[in-house]
Amino acid sequence: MDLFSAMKISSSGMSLQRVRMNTISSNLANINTTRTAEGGPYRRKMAVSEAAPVEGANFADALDHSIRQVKTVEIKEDKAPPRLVYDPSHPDADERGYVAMPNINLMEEMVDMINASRAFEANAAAARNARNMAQRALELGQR
Amino acid sequence: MGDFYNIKQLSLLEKGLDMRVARQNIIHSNIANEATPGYIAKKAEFEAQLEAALGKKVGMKETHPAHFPNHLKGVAGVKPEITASADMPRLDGNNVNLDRELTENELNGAAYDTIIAGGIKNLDILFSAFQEPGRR
Repeated sequence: MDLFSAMKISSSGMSLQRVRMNTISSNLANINTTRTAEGGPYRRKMAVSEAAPVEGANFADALDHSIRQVKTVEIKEDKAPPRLVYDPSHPDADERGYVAMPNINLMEEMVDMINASRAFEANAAAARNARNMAQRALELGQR
Repeated sequence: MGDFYNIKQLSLLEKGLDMRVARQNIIHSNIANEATPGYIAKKAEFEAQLEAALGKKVGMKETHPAHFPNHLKGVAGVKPEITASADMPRLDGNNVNLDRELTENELNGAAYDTIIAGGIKNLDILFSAFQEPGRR
């Protein structure tokens, strides 16, 4: 455990929040998309993460179960069914006049966005602190 | 007197810095995993161990005040005790408290700075002994 492993952990956290922010942007941009390459309406995407050993750490740290970075495992689709909207004039409406809209809830996405942004800031604050600590330690050598 | 090169204080300060860095790593780990399902927050405790080691004498007996102090061996062996947080997990099995981690982050940084300040003072005293009298 040194300050470099601490920085690595924070950077893994920041990259996860960036991925989350990207999926949220994608969801918001496609909130009304009814056609996709796979067919059917766009489905809400979400990032799945897991705790993993610190990458590039020394042997002792890799064995140490106390510190964990976060790893973005995959981007999954929300399993919720599409939202059916009655709009008979829509080109993608079915014979009953219903359009299958993406399973995205605008409020949920906004809350997730604030969440991801706060988590990113928390990781950045921790990384800044580790950098300051490393800088302070150098002051000992300037004597 | 008897503390050659202020070695007693310097190695204690070094241990303090090591412990603070270990705690910092745990804080980073908790913050990075603040939303990982099933992740349980961890804590690094060392204050009590360090205090206990300071009072303890191990190894050879000190028969002369100028001997290297023996209790430092006890200090050198101190390791942070990593424990799982006992807080109630949320529905996703995670129990990281982001506000507390951020507070710990700031406190730990401030404590680290304090130890560094102590180290600088210590080195200043040591180096002043090498200076020509009357010069600064």
